[in-house]
Amino acid sequence: MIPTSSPEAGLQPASTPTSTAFATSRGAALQADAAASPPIISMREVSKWYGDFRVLDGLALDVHAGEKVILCGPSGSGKSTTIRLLNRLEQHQKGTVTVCGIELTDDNRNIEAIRADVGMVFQHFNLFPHLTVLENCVLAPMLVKKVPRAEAEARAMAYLDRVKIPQLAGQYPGQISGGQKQRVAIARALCMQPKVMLFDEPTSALDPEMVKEVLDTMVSLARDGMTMICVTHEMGFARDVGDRVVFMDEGRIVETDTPQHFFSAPKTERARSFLGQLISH
Amino acid sequence: MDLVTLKMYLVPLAEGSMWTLALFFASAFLAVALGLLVCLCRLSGAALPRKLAKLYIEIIRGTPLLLQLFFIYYGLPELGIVIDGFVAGVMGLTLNLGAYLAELFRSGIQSVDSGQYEAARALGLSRTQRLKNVVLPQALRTIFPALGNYALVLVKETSLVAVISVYELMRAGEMLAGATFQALTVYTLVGVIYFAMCSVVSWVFRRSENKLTVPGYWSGSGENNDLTKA
Repeated sequence: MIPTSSPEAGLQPASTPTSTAFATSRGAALQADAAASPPIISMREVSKWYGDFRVLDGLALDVHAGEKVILCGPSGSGKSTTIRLLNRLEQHQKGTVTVCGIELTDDNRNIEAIRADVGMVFQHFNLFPHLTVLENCVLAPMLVKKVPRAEAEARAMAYLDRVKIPQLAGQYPGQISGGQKQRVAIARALCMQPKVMLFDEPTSALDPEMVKEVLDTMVSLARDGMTMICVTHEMGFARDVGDRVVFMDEGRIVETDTPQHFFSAPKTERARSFLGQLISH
Repeated sequence: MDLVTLKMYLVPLAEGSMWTLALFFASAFLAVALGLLVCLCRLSGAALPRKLAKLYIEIIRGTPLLLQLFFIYYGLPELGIVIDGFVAGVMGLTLNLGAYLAELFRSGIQSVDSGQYEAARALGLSRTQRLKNVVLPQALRTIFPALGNYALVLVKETSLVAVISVYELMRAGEMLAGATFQALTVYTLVGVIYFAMCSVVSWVFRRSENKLTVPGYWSGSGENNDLTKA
């Protein structure tokens, strides 16, 4: 059964900025958008410790609907921890984190409800190996959102179609390639029809020839207006779809700029040496 | 051996077998439930359930099953707790097996990759949903061969409750051997019946393993495994 209808949730190109809008006035739009609506994600003075070690140090970050934010920085700079705070896989100890209008605290009895609005894609895919691709995609909508099976399956097929692997619906994760697994993981997250998508180094564990298919999927998602926060070192991707690059080091945001400025003329010495490391091989 | 003699042998052994099966199914069912409960306590974030679970596991694994049965059947009545032989047998077997299963389940649950928990949390699954739909199905596959072992051990351990005068296959054989003075014949028959029961249990587990087989992840009892590769 392969339904031909496309998923309804705000992913049609019609309801979203066109690709030309991307290419042109990105820098100016950045400032204008920021004033227009309240941010979908807001971090204020966020700090986190592992024991005595301070992993995050007074972070402040706003992300507006439709924005694509690239988080980069050296290993251990706190970028993964930062996005993991946003669906509370990690907890902060100081400051406030607000996601989709709800402040994340220990009191969130309905943390599952917040997580349903925030999709996440992991470095190591984390598909459920005992379930088929289709079952992976329908599990959460059926359990969390109580979507009837037929509807969940139709939606899953539409998203699998979107990531261009509907033919794999009946396969198990152990039978498909890394790039395909990551595209399934993206489809699985999209099946919850999230307002925000978090990507935690989605291409770092992939063989080089599989990186492109995953990045292409992410670019297409970005073009459709999805709010995205990506931890990635794929500089081409960052340049192509990023509205902002947030450069982190030692738990702090060192520099925030448009990709053009950040990659061509980084303001801080730390960013310059980091970028120097990236291209030195 | 004429028909009358045959009947004299087989009727009590058949009856005993029924009770053995009853002991097996009751204890197996209850021990799985108890084992899962104790395992979840053992992995609980709260200190008290965790400590109680550890204590229970250590006491049970540190003493003989025979002693545990004697304790329940002969010991407890001194405290005014008198328990029927069959019930005492099921209790003893359940308490004993439950401790071992708790540790087996723990090993299975802890073998599930932490990324699986993270993905399930990120998708908004509740604690119970994560356990039921993501963790336990994977843990079950990991522990399945060992679970089959415990099932076979249980079939045979039911014979121990004969010593607290519960009527089951072993006890039926004992009484029959006493009455007929044909110990060799009787115990051979009893042995054949236990072997047949174990064969069925073993077969059921093999079949179930194959049903749980997932391509590229878990090969069940199939011959196509990594060890057979050149």
